[in-house]
Amino acid sequence: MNVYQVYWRIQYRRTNRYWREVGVAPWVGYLVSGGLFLSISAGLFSRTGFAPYLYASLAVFTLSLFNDRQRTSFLRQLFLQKSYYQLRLVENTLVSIPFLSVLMFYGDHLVAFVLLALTLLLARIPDIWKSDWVMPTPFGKKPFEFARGFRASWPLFLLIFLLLLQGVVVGNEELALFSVGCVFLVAMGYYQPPEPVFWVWLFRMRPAAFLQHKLRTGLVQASVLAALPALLVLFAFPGYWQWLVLVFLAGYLFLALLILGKYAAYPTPISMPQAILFALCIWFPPALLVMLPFFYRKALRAVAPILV
Amino acid sequence: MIILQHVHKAYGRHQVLSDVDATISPGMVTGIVGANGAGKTTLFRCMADLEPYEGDISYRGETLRPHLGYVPTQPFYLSRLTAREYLQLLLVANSLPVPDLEQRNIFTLPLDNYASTFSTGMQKKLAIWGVLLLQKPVYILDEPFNGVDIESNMLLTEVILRLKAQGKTIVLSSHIFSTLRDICDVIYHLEEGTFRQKVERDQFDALDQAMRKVHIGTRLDRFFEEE
Repeated sequence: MNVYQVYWRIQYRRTNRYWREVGVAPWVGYLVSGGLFLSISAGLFSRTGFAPYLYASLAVFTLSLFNDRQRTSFLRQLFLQKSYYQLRLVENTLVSIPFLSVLMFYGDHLVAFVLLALTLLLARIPDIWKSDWVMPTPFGKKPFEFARGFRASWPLFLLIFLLLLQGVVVGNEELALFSVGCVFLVAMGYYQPPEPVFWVWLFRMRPAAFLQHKLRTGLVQASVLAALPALLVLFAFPGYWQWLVLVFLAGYLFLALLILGKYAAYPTPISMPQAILFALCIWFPPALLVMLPFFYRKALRAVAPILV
Repeated sequence: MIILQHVHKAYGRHQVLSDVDATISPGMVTGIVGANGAGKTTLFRCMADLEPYEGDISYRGETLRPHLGYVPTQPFYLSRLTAREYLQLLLVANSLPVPDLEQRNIFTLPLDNYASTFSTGMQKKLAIWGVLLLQKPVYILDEPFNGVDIESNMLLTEVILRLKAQGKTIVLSSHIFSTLRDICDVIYHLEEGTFRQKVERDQFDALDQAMRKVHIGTRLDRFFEEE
């Protein structure tokens, strides 16, 4: 067995292990996630014209996770340079294939082409993530999720601003509003995976105060991130301020749901049943009225043994 | 005073701590020695409430946790957070104001670099500096001298002695017996999850000799004779 075979076998085992950890048999996990991907794709592409952009953004975000510095350093230790690039190319292509297929199926060839180019490019130039340069952020006063999350996800903000500018230039207010919503989507990614227990333990707060601190910090810092795109939307489409308020409200509610959901499952990652409840809230937003207090109470119980 | 009464800890069937009893006096430096796997880190994690355990650990009749500054044996830093941000988070998490960190940078650490990229020794120094900023009455330092350079080693020794002079209670472990001998008032010998001996300062040499006999024995004599 060569080193490639060992590598892919390990990845397969790790994925299976992940499914078991979240409480489902691996084959069920593959089947359900594949089915969910296809049904969400069909739903999205039939409902909104932003689906291709959303898909490209999601794919690039996922690819950026594969370019994590520690990960690439580890791989470079294992493989020769040529093999390393081949492996990264295969990995990136595997990640992009589902997104590319859906984009091609719905005839969005231009977006698919751009995504394919980025897929190949990101496999070749991981060094943009290798720098020791510390990106300044406005989140230093209350650092953690947003400070490190923004440093990991800044390329996505380039995409978001491109979307926003396109919306403004062509006079498509929905696209501009969607790009503001994307800021909240990216911010939600900052809360996974859960941090090690020590990083919760170091808070000298009661569980309720801890959760309120996390919610307050999350909502304030998400507002800071979304402020500039929101101002641009207001400037370009002043008549749409009510829609902007709605986007912010939805962003706040879903961010709060994710924060509470994370600590409800803590210290383990969000489980499959929880993810289904999240999906239910996306499908039927009034469910948030039940889910937010439900996850809040669960989170209180989960963090209580770790905090004072 | 920290009181440990009948502390037990098991991972599944593996008993790590077994009936640990101790009374740790305030304003003193208490050392814990023991071989790898003796249970030192587990004991410290239990004292910090990072592990569930059986038995009782109290400080002045209360739970120890709120009064404690704890430095783990291998501090873990999340990626893409600078040393300054780590300290800020620590202070915010404890509802404390953030002082002028540049001025209080006793270990001259590069504050605006990512803490996760620091060397082992620098990470340790950052963790120690962090708990010092919290100004707690009790400090538990798990292997504080591990990976720390000689200059910082001297500085750290002085820090511990100054904390003691301020009446703080310090509990620490080390693999280096000479380090413990220099700064500790009392040393507990932990073996197979239980305290075998409590030794006062005037008996440290005897403990050192006894441990050498146990841990080295005649193994080296035989090895070198064979050569």
